[in-house]
Amino acid sequence: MNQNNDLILEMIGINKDFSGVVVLEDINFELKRGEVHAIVGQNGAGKSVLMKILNGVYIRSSGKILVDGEDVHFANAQDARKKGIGMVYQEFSLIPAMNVARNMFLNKEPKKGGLTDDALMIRSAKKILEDLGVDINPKSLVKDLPVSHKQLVEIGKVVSEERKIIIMDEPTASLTKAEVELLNNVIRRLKAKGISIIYITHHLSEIFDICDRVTVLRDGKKILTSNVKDINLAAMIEAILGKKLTREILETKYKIDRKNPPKLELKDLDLGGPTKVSFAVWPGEVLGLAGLMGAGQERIVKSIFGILPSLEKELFVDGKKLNIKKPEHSLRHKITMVPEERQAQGLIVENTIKFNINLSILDKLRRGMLISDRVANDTAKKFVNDLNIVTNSILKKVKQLSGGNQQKVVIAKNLAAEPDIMILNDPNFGVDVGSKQEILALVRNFADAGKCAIFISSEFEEIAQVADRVLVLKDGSIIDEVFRGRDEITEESLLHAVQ
Amino acid sequence: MGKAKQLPVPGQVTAKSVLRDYAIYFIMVGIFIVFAIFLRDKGFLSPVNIMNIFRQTAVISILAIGFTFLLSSGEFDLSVGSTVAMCALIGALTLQQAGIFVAVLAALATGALIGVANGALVVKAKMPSFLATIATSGIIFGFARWITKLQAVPVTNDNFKFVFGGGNVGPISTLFIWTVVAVVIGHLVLSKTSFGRKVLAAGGNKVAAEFSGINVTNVKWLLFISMGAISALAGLLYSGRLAAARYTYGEADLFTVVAAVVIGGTSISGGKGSVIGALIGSIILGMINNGLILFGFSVDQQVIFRGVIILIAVALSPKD
Repeated sequence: MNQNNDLILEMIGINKDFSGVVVLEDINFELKRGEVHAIVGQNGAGKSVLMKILNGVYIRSSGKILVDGEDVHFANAQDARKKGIGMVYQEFSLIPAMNVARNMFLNKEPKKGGLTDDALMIRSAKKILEDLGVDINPKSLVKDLPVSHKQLVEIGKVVSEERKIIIMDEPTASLTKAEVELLNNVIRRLKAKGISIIYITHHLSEIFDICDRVTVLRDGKKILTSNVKDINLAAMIEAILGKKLTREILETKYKIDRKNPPKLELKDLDLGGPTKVSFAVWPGEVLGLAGLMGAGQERIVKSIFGILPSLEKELFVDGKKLNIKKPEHSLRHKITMVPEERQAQGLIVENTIKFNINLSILDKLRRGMLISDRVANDTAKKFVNDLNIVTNSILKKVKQLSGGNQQKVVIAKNLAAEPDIMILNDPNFGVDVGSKQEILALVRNFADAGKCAIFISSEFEEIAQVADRVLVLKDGSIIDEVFRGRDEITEESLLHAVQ
Repeated sequence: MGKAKQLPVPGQVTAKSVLRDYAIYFIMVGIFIVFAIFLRDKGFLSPVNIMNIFRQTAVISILAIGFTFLLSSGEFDLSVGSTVAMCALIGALTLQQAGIFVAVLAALATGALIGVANGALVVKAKMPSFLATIATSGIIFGFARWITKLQAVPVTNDNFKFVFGGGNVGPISTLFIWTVVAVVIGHLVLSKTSFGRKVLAAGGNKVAAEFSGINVTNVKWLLFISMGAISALAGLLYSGRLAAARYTYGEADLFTVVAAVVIGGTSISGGKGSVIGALIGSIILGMINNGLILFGFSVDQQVIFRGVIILIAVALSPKD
């Protein structure tokens, strides 16, 4: 037996196929004690399958797993847990109506005389949370906590189970920058206790902040494992994509003339900031809205789209004043939105690609009383083709697609409605690197056809790549306006501007 | 390592997909064959008995169609039973004073009005439909008992009886014709019109539907109103067939209707529905009812058996 005391986990020659379709091929992966090891790759690269094998959800087709030098075979997640492997899920597995302590000790409550010992539970929860360096009251109800705290309670729950290996799946997906720092502190403390962490993320920059080593997967194969200090971002992206990534500026092809009347004009939107928000968008433009979380960019687009009708404003399209009270009205005026939560707000995940793409044009499918299935098919096929949605059928359920492809379905649904103005609220959130670039190109092409796009992104580099003009927001007001060609628009300049 | 073989393509017909998609048809045929064999001496297969099954199933099928729409949109209407009774009584009472046309209109208007109220409670007052319609059901039932002091209201108009389920066109009961018409319209609307898609979208994800420009409020409200009107039709069919209206009509139907709809593959959480499935579900339950009677079980035993068989059928019906 390979006895290497340094290693808490060895996965050797792991293969996995689903009814003949190979999804993992000969993967070798090792994890050191007290190490934070990142696993990165595009959607479909095999990260989640590998992790599900490790925590007992899937059973490997062949290969060997050693935990602490011991050959293990997990039949289910309970087996993996017994060997000290825990997973912090991306979708929170907390019960909102219970308090923090009850959640952390769910199904393993300390007992006294047959009844749960609530006092002890709260004391223990408090101790664990304090050890993690977080200030959360164990008696608070989970539903009252901010998202970041829920994430930390999730971690606390796993820590309370005395795990040796903790898998974190996109732990920062819903956190702000400040909250990420809080999480990083927790990770450092876990590390100091000798706990090993497998860190799955799409945010590559985080790896340099917190991880020791990184393993890159692509198409079910391991491409490399490297010390983080020995690799740079470009090399990592190249390994992920299998080609060099050109993060170039997407050139504007439409001749934007801001002396002409604008397509859309927003006047005096009151977000409670020092000045009211007013701006215009011209044909051919991608207008970026940049700001820290809560700076007002989200409320602006929601107000335009009719989700926050109570905010006072005046809205003009083609010089005509509109009174938009709900999304239905926006659609009527050819304004569409790609919302920030694609599964909750953009898609009917239990239904097919075809159904979803045709959702916003149902009335256009009518031929007499009935709808034309042929037109619906043609529309779906056209967009699957044009947007390069990876699927073997337009009848596939959307929930079976990767995040990037799901987002393309949302965009296809928007484009099908033939909008003049398309709002995109962080469309690349949780999308793999390859699809990100494709989605940015889609936004650019859309505007280049003489339409308007309003673009929000939590990654300022994307705004820099695609926007013709950026409004910088802070505390509900526009504090700066920068133009492509005239001013510098880069990730750094925007990051600096929004502070 | 296994050779890479093609993943099943959604929408492609395979032995497995046939088994899954048509499970309910197999169940129906299976029950039919079992009954045909074991009840052959008791006239299960006789044309009279077959027509009987359809006659007894008709009202359930028609109610199930309306319920399929509501459930697909993610809503319940538990006031169906008492609405049936109320509308039957209003129809019969009106018929004593006025013509068929006015009576039918009065019944339908009553049903639609109840639907307007149910819909308003759900989409405007934002009450869960499950609770709102339990409450309205009680109110309607109370009124139904009150207006006739528990007495049956006789229906003597022969034309009315003929049209609403009492008559036959050749060998075919008018109930059967009503059912066929309702199924055809229901099926087309749910699967072939933009309204049908909107219903499924509203039930699948309300927010996404709204963001796609669909007026979910109106869609659902319209469904409650339709359910009321369909309940009224069911009430008319009961009073036509049985030549009287009673406050007890529809009382036991809710249970059967929900079972038929769910057996038929409509998702209880919305977003997925089948009118044809609801019809098949109704026929399955109707056959079972008929079979149990022919086997000679007592009413108590029938009720128990029906519960057990519904459990089995729901367990076997397609799920994700």
